[in-house]
Amino acid sequence: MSNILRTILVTLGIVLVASGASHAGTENIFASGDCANGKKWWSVSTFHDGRLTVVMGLDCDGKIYMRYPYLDNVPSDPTAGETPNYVGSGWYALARYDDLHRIVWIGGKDISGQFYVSTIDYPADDGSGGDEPQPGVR
Amino acid sequence: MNRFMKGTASWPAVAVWALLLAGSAQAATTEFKYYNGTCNGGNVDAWWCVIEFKDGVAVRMSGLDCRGHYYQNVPVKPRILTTDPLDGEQPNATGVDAGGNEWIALVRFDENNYPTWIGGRDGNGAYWLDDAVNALQ
Repeated sequence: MSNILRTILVTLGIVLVASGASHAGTENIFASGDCANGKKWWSVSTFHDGRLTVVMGLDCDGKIYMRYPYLDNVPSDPTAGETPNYVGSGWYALARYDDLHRIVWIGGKDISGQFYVSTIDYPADDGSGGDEPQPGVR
Repeated sequence: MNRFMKGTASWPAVAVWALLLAGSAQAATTEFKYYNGTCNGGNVDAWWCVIEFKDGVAVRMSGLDCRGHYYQNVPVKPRILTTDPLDGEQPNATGVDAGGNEWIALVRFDENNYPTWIGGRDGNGAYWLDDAVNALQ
């Protein structure tokens, strides 16, 4: 194999690996549904390379919330035996919700194959606002 | 309840609206519309926006723009118009109100993919517009 051909193949390989590595990147996933109290909820969960980095949403009390979860790496699949409810490019996660439909637990596998879990807390009154629109944080 | 801004609409129009709203016996419908996309050269890879519509009129919005700024519960303050703000443009939000009537709306975003212009026609055929949506207002 000539040096020129080898160089071309190596370059092509690097490009393919680079494009594959950046494939997952940031994925924002929107979800919404009906609450038991007649209201509606929504959430946007942001995953970076398959790891939840931030979640914002409107809960069943009509309050906006936003959380940056801290993820703990774990050695085995925390979703084993259950069906993930978030699936992306080479990753998956299972989220559990409270009565207000806020994520309180999440576990999954990122694009590197690392398993993780996180528990998300919501203080009783975090001042994030109620039914009436609140000024933004732009 | 009058969802529209006071002082920016003619009183006859407000009166008509008050009658229309008073005559509506059904509970208001709430719909969330989700918009998203990728950013080119911004601080983040992707932007998103959720806009809440009640019976086809935008009431508040939350999201992330391409500068990486999150905005939460930003109020939309529509005013009544006598002409169609879409003026032939295709809507990017549609739905059905509590009375079964179709509504349409158009959301425009600025260069950072922050929503700055929201207008439409509700299920009663009334035109509305907020062309200066601003988180700081």
